[in-house]
Parts: sequence; structure tokens; C-alpha cells
Amino acid sequence: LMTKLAGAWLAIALIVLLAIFREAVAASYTVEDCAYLLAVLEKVVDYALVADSRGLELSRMLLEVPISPRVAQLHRESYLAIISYYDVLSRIPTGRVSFSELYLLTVRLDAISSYARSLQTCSHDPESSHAMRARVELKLLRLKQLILDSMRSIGSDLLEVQVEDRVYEPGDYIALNIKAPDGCRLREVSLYHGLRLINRVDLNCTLQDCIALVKAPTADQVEDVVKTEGIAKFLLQVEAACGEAHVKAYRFISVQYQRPQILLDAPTVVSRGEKVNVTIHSEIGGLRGVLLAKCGVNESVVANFTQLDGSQLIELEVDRPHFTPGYCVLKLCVNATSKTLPQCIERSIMVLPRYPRVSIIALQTHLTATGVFEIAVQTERGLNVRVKGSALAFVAESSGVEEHTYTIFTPLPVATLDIEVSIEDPRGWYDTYVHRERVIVVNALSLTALIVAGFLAITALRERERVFTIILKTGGVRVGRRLREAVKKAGELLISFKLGLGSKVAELYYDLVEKLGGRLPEVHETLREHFYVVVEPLVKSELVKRLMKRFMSIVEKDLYSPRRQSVEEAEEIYEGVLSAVEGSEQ
Amino acid sequence: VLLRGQSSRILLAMLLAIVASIATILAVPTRLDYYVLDQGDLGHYKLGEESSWILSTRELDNVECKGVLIVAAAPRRVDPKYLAPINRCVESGASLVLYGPPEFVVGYLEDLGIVAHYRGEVFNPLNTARERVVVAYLEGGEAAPFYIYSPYSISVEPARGDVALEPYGYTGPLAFIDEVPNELYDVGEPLGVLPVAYILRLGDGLIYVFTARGVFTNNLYDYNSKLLRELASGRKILVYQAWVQEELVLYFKILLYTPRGISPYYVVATTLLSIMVAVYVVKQIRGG
Repeated sequence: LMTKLAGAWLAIALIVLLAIFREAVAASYTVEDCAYLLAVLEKVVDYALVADSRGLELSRMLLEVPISPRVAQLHRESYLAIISYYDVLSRIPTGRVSFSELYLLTVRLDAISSYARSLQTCSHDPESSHAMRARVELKLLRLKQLILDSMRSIGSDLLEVQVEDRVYEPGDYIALNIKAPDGCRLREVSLYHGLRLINRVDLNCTLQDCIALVKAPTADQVEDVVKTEGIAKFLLQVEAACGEAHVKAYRFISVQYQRPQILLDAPTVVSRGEKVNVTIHSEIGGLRGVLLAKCGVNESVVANFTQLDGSQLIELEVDRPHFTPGYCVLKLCVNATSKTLPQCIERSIMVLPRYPRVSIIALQTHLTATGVFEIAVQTERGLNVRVKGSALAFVAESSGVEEHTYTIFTPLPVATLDIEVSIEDPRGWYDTYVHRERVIVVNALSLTALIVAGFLAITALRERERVFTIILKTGGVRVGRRLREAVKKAGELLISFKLGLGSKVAELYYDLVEKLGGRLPEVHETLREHFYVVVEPLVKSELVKRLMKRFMSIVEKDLYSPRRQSVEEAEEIYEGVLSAVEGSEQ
Repeated sequence: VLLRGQSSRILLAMLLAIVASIATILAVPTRLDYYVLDQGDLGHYKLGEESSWILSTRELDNVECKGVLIVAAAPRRVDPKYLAPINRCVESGASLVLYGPPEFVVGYLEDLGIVAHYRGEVFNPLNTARERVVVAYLEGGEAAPFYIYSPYSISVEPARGDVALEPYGYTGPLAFIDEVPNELYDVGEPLGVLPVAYILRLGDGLIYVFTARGVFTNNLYDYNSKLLRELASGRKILVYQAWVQEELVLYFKILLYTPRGISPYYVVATTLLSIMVAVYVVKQIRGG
């Protein structure tokens, strides 16, 4: 009953677990087909190009869809940009759109480009998806052009601003030639990246024509907004006061930013405690930065430098607390300068542990009388030595300052034991050394005991082989528990087989044998053996002997031949024997 | 001891055989898509509980066709002899709802003289609620959406006769046809609103064709029962199961059942008959 209950409980638990798993799978469903997402994006951009409201509806719907984490952020940014586009588009006719808003929108639409590139990369067929991505980017350019056209219509044409159309270096001066109409006073020039004001210059021109110099933002000035190398676009806003009205004109400025070329040279494999030379090289001078070590999750500064110029050699001691044995990363980070953006480079090193001198004396195979054997460990003073054994191995330490002896006992006759020797340094100078050894141990005493016990058990079972076989069939798994009852039952079962399973002829024969004072056949006796051993000595009369022998052969045929014997004939012999016996007694 | 008697053994064997045969029939698995006793996803158990069953082609001859909506779906192409009575009934004013795998639906349309081709599975990865379930809308978009399981797309050649298939229900705007069968979008595969339900006029009746493997099947019945009632418009709903005759054991099983459960008359009659036969056989053997 307990087994069935346990089985049922297990089945229910399995079903519940499966249900939970299915729910979890359903709950964690995300759209992973990047090619599909790219096609959807193209469709939505198509709608946006013709200002179809379905594009807006789809964008809102797509924001709610769980997307593969690889592209989820860009997916969200892209569709938010498209929603903003529809929002701005709806406000342009009313004139409630600022230039900055439109400019920001062009920046936000760049996310769509990045999204399309990511989708192409994660698509199951990037080659074919390339065409789709190219189409999306082309349509995106047209979308931006629409916004730029709107921007031109917003900017004032009262102010004439001339600026050299080239890519500037960080810190370069940008010359502006500004002409304002009569009655206007030029006030200031502002430089924006997105909505963030980077620089503002007051114009102190008294004339309507003015030449102003604005400094292109240095790299350290914009390091938190310009994240990638290449050309960054800034918005230049010129403002003039014409009576009570404020007039503004806008221009784009391109500035090229780069990261510095730095190199880090260090050996790839070092041992803890060693001193190693690390070389840092930079093509430009005056860089400031730090050298960090990251081992596992811990990151710490191992060196600072304030004026990196050309090549510089740093001597590092590879030891705690900055370095721990295992895989570590050396990370060189330099700060932004006026010309260059910040930069970090990494180099991985393998830190090997430092172990004490250790000598472990242990045989691979121990032939023992009682299962006891020894191992010896020699090491330096002041270290903690511990020895552990696998299950059924009992360890006892016997002595030692530098040499430790351990006595190990196992009761198993033949065992393969895993012995672990660990040596720890409480001062932390050495790393913990662990040595594992597998030894084979023979315990002669318990082996002999096992052999003797096995021999006795086999001998005992041999006597009852047939009974044992029947017990297995009838008693099943309860044999061990109810051996005594089962033996009895099996004996009874055998007798009923022996006596002929309901043969009427056999029943009459056995009844007659009992009436003559004989016993029934034993399990091991054949019918014929039983006759000569039991029945024949019982009767004196030759007639009765012959009748009984004939009766026995009829029973034999009834039991073992395919044809049933006549019960009437058996009854006749039965009666005949009884009357013959009674006659002889009288 | 009992087993030694020849006659007893035969009697016991016969009884066991009877019980086993009845039990086998009852225990025959009901795993057959669109079968009214199948409780699996694509079975018609739920639909069967709330409708009448048509188990032979002759039964439709006695039905008042104008007052019924027949639901026909089968797991494969069915012999036209099983479908002819439905068409006769539709021509007399019945409505028919048709869905199932492409072999069945396209085959049925071919029998009606409409040439249609299977184009590919329809996927809408944005329907995240249940796998392979796609939300669809009837033409006009005013009615509530309904759900279809494992839809596919067909192309229909221009009509040559009186019968013409008109689109009637569509997927959402971002479904695609998986023409390269890999369950992923491939460049060039059609993406957008796709027709997944059609309407066809035949005589005085209407045929609603859904190109999907599941519409009123167990997995979607609860969601689509309102649509079924709308299509029925108060008429009696009949589930067409005569095609099950091609599966003899399952057909015998369906005969033992009624829409409310197992028929006790069948069971009692079958059991009594079997016992009588068994007793006769045993007596004959004993007498011999």
C-alpha cells in the first residue's frame, strides 16, 4: 500500500511539475525570429513614410510584445522613436514643434538603424536579410529628410550664417560669418548635442556683420555624450534680438573624435608572489589613467600614472590582496584628453598558486590483516595538515611536527578508498594544497569472514534448492520476511502437485494407502519408489500386492499420460483390495 | 483444479473473451482528430457534447436541411461518397462549416470544382498567448475576434463555374506565410493581413471554409463557441462523423455511445447476446 501511495504521489508531483514547467515556458515566450522582426520593422517604416496611422498602431502594439533580450532595448527605442515621429508629425501643421525637438528626433531615429543592423546579425540567414536591412536604412534616410525639410521651414531666414562645411578636430576654432538685418542685434551662439547645451559664446558685435569664433567641443568635454569614435554632429544655434522678437538660425557642425592608441604588455602566466614587469605604451603623451586587476569579481587599482609618455615600465607584485590564483584580467584605462576619448584595454593573465614543499608517502595497494594501513605526510613547520577518507575509512593522526603519520582503517574486505590530503597555511603565505590519492585496500580478516559466511549460506540453500525456487515464484519479494511460512506453503503446494491435482484415480489410491496404514509420498519420491518403500512392505498377501501394483500403474498413467484412466476400474480395484484385506484379517 | 475440466475451461475462456471484447471496445483509444469521443486538442468532444451526431450518410436524408448547421472536419481526405449527402443538404439550404488539414479542405474544395493550392503554414509570432494559435477577424472587423489553431494559406484559382470562394476572415496585420517550411520568416515571404476563412454559396446554402486545423476543436471550443452560435443563428448544430466508418473499431465505439455518454442498451444487449452464444457453444462441446 505504501509503495502504491508513494507511486501515486510521485505521479501527481510529476504532473504538477510538468504543468509548472509548461506555464514557465509559456510565460517566458519571446519573439526570437530576427528576420521576422526586421520585416515587421520595414513594414512599420513604410507606413511611417506615408504617415499611415497603422504604423502608429503597430508601433504601440509592438512595444508590448516580449522580444528576445538580445535586441529588446533597441526594439523599444526604435518603436518609441517612431511613435515620437508620429507625434511630431501631428503637431507640425499647428506650428507647435521646436527646432530642437525635430533635431532630437533625427538623433532618436538612429536607433532604428542600429536595430536593423542587430536584427540582420541575429537573423537565421544574415545574407538574405542584408537586402531587407539596406531597404530599411534607405527608407530611414527618406524619413530623416522629411524631418530636415520640416526643420528648414522652421529656421529663420532673417539671419545669414556662413560656416565652413568640413569635419573639425576637437578644440578647433570654428569661424562663423553672421549677417543680421538692420534693427537686429546679434546676441549669442550656442552649441548643442541633442538637447544638451555644450558651449555658449556671447556675441559682442556692434555691427550687423559679425565674425565669431566658436571652439569645437574637446573630447573630455563630451565624453559622456559621445560614446563612439567617429564623426559627431552638433547643432549650432545663432540668436539675435530684432526689436522684441528673438530670431534664431541653425547649422550642423561635424567633429571627429578618436580614442588613443595604447598597448599593454605583460606575461601571460605568473606565479603568486612573483614580481613582473608590465609595459604600457602610448602614441600620444600626457595621458593619465589607472591599471586595474580583476580576479573573479574583485576589481582593484594596482597602479596609477599621471603622465604617460611613450613607453613606461611598471613593476607589479603579483600577490594578495589584488591577485588571487586563477584567471585574472589586467585592465588599463586612460582618461579623456582634449583630443581623445577615454579608452580601456584588457589583457588576461593566469596567476599560478604558491604551494609549500610536501612529500606524501602512501602505497597504491595495501594488503592488510585487519584493514589498517598508514600514510605519512612531510611538510614545512607551521602548516595545518588534514587527511580525509571516503566512506567507511576511519582516519586517526598519530604524531608529528614536520612529519605526520595517519592510520586509516576500513572494515570492507576489498575497498577502493579515496584519500584526500590538504595542507593549509594559516599565515596565507602559501595557497592551500590538496592531493587526492586512490588506494586499494584488502582486509584479510573481513574477507575470510565473508567467504565463510557465503560458503555456509550456499550450503544451507543447496539443501533447499527446489523449495527456494518455489518460494521465489510464490512468495515474491516477501520471501526474506516470511521465509518460514513460505517454506511450509511451498511444501504443501508441492504435495498437491505430487498427489495429482484432483485426479479421482489418484485420490482413491492414496485413500487406500492410508487405509492400509501407509504414509503419502514425500516431495522427492516418485510413485514407484513410494510403492516399493511404503506400500509393498505393508501387505502380506500376494493378491493384494498385485492389485496394489496394478492400481499404482493406473494412477501413474492417469497422472502422466495424455489419456485419462477409467475411474470405474480404479473403484473396482479399490473395493477388491479392501475386501481382500478384510478376508485375510478374518 | 477447476481448470482440469475441459468444459469449464471453455466456458471461462468464452466469458473472458466477451468481457475482454467489450472492455477492448470501451478502452479503444479515442485518439483520432475531429472524432467526437476524442478529448485531445484536435478532438470534437466538447462540440459533440452540445450537438447531434451524424453517423451515417443516410441520416442526412431525414434532416430538415434549412434548419441545420453542419460541422465537417476530418484528419485526411475523405472518400467523396461520405461528403455527397452534405452537399445535397447544403444545396437545400443548410450551412456548412469546414476546416481541417489541407488534404481535407483542399480535397473537399476540389470535389466542388474549385481548384485550390496549399501555399504554406501561417504564423504570427506576435500572438504569444498559445503556440500556433492565431487571432483572426471576420470581414468588417466589427465582430469579436476568434481563434484558429495551426492555420495555413491557400491560393484559389479563378472560378470557372457558379461556385466562387470569397475571403471572409483574416489574420492580424503581421502574420506571414511560411513558404519555406522552417517556421521562420524568410526574405520574400508574404507578411501582412492574410485570409484564413472563406465563404462559398452553394445552391440555397452557405459553406464557411476555415483554412486551419482547429476552429471548434476542444482546444478552442470555449473561445469560439460564440462564433459557432452566430454562424448557426438558432439552427440545430450537427457534427458530421460518417467518415469515421473508415476506422471500423472507432466507428463501433461511436455506435456504443450517445452524445450524453455510453448507451446502456447497447452494452446490455451485446453482453447478453455474447453470453447466450457462449453457453450454446459450451453445451455443444459437452454434448459432443
